[in-house]
Amino acid sequence: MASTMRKVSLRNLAAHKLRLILTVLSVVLGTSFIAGALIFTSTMSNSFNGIFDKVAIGVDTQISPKTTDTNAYGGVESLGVPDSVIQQIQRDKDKLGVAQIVPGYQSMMTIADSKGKAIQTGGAPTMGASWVPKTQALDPDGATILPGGRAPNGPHEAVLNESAAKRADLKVGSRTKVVVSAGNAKPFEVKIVGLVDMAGDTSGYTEMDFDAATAKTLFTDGSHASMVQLGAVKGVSADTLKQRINKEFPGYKVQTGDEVRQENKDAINSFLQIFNYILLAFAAIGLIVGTFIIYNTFSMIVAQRVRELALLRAIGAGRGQVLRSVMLEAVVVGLFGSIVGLGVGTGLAAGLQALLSSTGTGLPSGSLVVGPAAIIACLVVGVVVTTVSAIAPARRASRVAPVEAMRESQTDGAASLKVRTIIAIVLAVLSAVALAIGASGKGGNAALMVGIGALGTIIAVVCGAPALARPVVGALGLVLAKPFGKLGQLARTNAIRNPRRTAATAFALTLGLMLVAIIGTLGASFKSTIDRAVNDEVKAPIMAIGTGGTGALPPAVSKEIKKVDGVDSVISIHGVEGTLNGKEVGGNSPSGDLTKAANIKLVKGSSKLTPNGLLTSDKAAKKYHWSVGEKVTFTSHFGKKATVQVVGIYKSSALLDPWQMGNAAYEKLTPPSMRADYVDLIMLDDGADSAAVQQKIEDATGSYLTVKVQTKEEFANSSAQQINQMLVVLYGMLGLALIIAVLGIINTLALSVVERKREIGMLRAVGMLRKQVRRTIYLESVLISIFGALLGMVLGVIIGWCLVRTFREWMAGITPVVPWGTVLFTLVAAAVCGVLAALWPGIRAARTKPLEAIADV
Amino acid sequence: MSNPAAAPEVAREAQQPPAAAAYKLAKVYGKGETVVHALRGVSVEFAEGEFTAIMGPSGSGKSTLMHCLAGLDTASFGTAQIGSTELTGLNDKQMTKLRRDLIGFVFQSFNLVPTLTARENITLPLDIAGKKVDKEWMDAVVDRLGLADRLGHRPSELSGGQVQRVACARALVGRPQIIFGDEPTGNLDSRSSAEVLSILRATVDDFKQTVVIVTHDPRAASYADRVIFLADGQIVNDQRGLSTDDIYEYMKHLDEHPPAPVPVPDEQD
Repeated sequence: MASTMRKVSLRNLAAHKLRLILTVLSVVLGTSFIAGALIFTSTMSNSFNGIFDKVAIGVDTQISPKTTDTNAYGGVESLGVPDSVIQQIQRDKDKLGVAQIVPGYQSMMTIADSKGKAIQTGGAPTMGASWVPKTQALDPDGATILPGGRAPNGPHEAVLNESAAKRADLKVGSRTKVVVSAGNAKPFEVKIVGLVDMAGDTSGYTEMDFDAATAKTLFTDGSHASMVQLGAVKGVSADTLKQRINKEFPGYKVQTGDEVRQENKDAINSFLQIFNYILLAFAAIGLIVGTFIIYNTFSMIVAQRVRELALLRAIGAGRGQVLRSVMLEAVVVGLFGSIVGLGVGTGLAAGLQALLSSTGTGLPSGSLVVGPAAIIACLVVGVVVTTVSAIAPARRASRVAPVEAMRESQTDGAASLKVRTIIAIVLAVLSAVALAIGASGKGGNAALMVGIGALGTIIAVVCGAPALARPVVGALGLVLAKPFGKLGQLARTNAIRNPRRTAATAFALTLGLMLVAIIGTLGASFKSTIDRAVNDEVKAPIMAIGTGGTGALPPAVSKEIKKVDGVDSVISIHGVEGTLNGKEVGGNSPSGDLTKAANIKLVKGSSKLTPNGLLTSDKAAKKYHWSVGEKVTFTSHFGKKATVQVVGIYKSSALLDPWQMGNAAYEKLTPPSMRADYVDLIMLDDGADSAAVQQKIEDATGSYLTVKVQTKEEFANSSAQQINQMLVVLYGMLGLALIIAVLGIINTLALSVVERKREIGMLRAVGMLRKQVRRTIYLESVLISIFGALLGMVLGVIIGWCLVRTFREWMAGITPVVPWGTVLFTLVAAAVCGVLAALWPGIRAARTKPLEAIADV
Repeated sequence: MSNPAAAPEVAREAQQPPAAAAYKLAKVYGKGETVVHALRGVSVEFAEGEFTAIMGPSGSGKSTLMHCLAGLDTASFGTAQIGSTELTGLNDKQMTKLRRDLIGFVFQSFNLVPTLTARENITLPLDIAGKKVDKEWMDAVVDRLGLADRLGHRPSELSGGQVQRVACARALVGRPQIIFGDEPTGNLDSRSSAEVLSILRATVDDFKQTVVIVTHDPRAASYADRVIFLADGQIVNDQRGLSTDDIYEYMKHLDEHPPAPVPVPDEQD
């Protein structure tokens, strides 16, 4: 019997190939994203690892300052390793076991390509560094000047890494403009005297090397090195040297070469992780939604096979055998889907890799790594999800009574929805409470609360949607199907005939579009808040911002702008970094009278910022318990202290948070080599032609390569555009949700049509035209789609609204905005998808012969 | 290929054209070795306002004859017509409209849409056609069939007899040229059967409706004015005014002496 049951299962699969394909497809959608994510990230990290394995060869120990991160405005938070340390190592060379000392000088910079525009790096940094001649290098093979070039010598000569030179169309002998990002450096011209083949040359990374003396003056304050690399004498291991150095200089970060390489790898892997998360999020959507499609399919298959199963039971098949038979079908479908998913996922990863390297980022093009992790995850998840979704239908199948074989089968799943609905109501109430609590608070914990509420809502929807389907689809049907008369009524009653099935079918859209609505609400709220903040708070008609890797403006830019005809004054907003009571803080310092360029809503004190004064937002004042007149001491990252007195408190705003410091204090805290501006606010002379002055400013600052001059409106728009780019992921999710939803609807409708064959035949017999049959199916599909979309939109907007409220912690004055355009577009898209999904089932239904109503199945 | 004049065996009582007619109607399934002749050139006319029962053993072709006459199936040879409309050569759309506008159906089972109420089921063909329901006529039919208090009920809330009565009402309300019943009482107990048959009888007597039913139940056939017997795809008897006993007797005779040893399709009656 066992083998017979297996035969029945397998033959049953083979007999319904189309149904099989649709079910497999829903498994494929989920698993392919899992496989794609894992394969893509392991391929990328493998290629990067290969590249970074060649970095810092020969380095036994590296000394660098504890924090080398560049701050938000491009300044380095530390001056580096002082010359005194280098001298001390030099003195104690023998005692420490050091053979070679190589100090490095480096900083971010901007380099012009052959057309005078900044070299595009696709997100990779552009560094300026010191050239280490082969004779002094720890790894003589680490960097080699290609034939035809030579080492740089003097302040106007430099070498460039080969791949960057190719991208920038620069050759040996070319002259080009360069700007160091921070400090008082002005643009200057260098001659490329050589191209370098260097380790780690990949993905848009750009490095220009100068001789050590030049690099030291360009990139540091002249008495520090960015880092020092040491080679040990024979007999002293890297670890030993590291321990000795660590003991001697405890205030620095001391690493072995291996650790440096690992740090590089970790950095790139954490960057790759973002791709991984996005792809895995897609996989999760695909799988969760796929689960419902698979569940639906198996439910309907079982319903249609009731008589067959009953016959098997009547002739002696046990309940376990029936159960196993259905489960076997699920395993076969899951396995098959996962294998196809693995293949599709590999293609997905290859496509993504090709796409990214074609966008000029020059990601390494290693061969695809289809590791065991990807294969196992893909197969296990695929099979588990499929079998889990089939458990309930299989159990139902095993309960079929043998007498069913003799009866007219009743295929409607009429089991009570009471328990599900009660669970749903309880969960919905709890979720609503969680959402309300979250929305009334702000910050991380409030956002977490909203997240919990959102999760609860999703589960509540899963449980409660069948109970909702009848009234909601019914009401929708009354409105939408009215113009179609009887056909509309038939579509409407068909859509609510089996609410469980309708709900499971619509869930694909509900979940996908819920995410779309959440992100859409966030995006719309951010946009409107930025818009409002810029319009309300900025008085300056023109602004200059930096577009380089650090987003900072060299301070010299403001001096250039001041010279332009028609410019009345420039107020630079400097970035300030430091610590307050041992905690890292960051704020701003305006170069002049801030009230001239921005609207400050004063709450207390004076808005006139004294050189050693501090203007603070009410939010920061509350956080640090500051009051007017109070003295506050900031400490810079390298020990300098500045005490300021709070002169005024203003109303928290998106642009001016958290505080503004007087200039004298700023200069005390920030050495010249680290100064950088966040934005230049430009006031014009009375009656000056704004557009003409803007053009003149652009001309005057063009040589800085990374200065963007915008009107207030342009600034607001371009900020909004950045948000739009982030929302691209949203459209990806929308697309995926719609594709899966279409598959699910096709599946459900196709099986429903088979189920209702006799009814459709009867309708054809009493005079329903083929096109009327089709139209009825389309309408039914549209009703299901809009039900799903509506549910998703409503919940998504509510959750998004709550989430935005929690963002008040980080973005002053943010208020939730409902993206009506997105909502409307999505509902229309859902309706269109409904029709598309119904095309094929509709045609099948219309082909039903009237005689099939009379024929005995 | 054939015309009424070439069919002298058909009795033509009135000057009026028949409500439905078949001329040399043949239906062949399969080909070569497995060919099955379901109908072998049947010619028959159904007069207006008459109640006809088509009888015959399983596989005699009685259902096929009705399906071809009612535009549910197409004949291989010969012609069928409803009123003055010839069915041969009609495309699916024309055929559907013909069924909708000229024919009423009462099937053995699955007559009603389960999600619609009795009233909605009755007006379904008219609604699909976008036609107005004749309120007075509807009321008269519903009243006559005793369905007035069941109109708001779903099929699942009706008894078997009531379901068939609703189907009759649906067939009548469009005032079709002819009503076809395919074993309309096949699933009913004898009391409900009698109820439905007397309703069909009454529609002929009271509303001058033409009714043709296919049945293998002599008692059902006895309600008819005229009984046509089919065996092996041919008409073997065509009589009026038969009693139940007469029909039993003839059927027994038919079973004992099958007229022709030709294989017939396994049909669903």
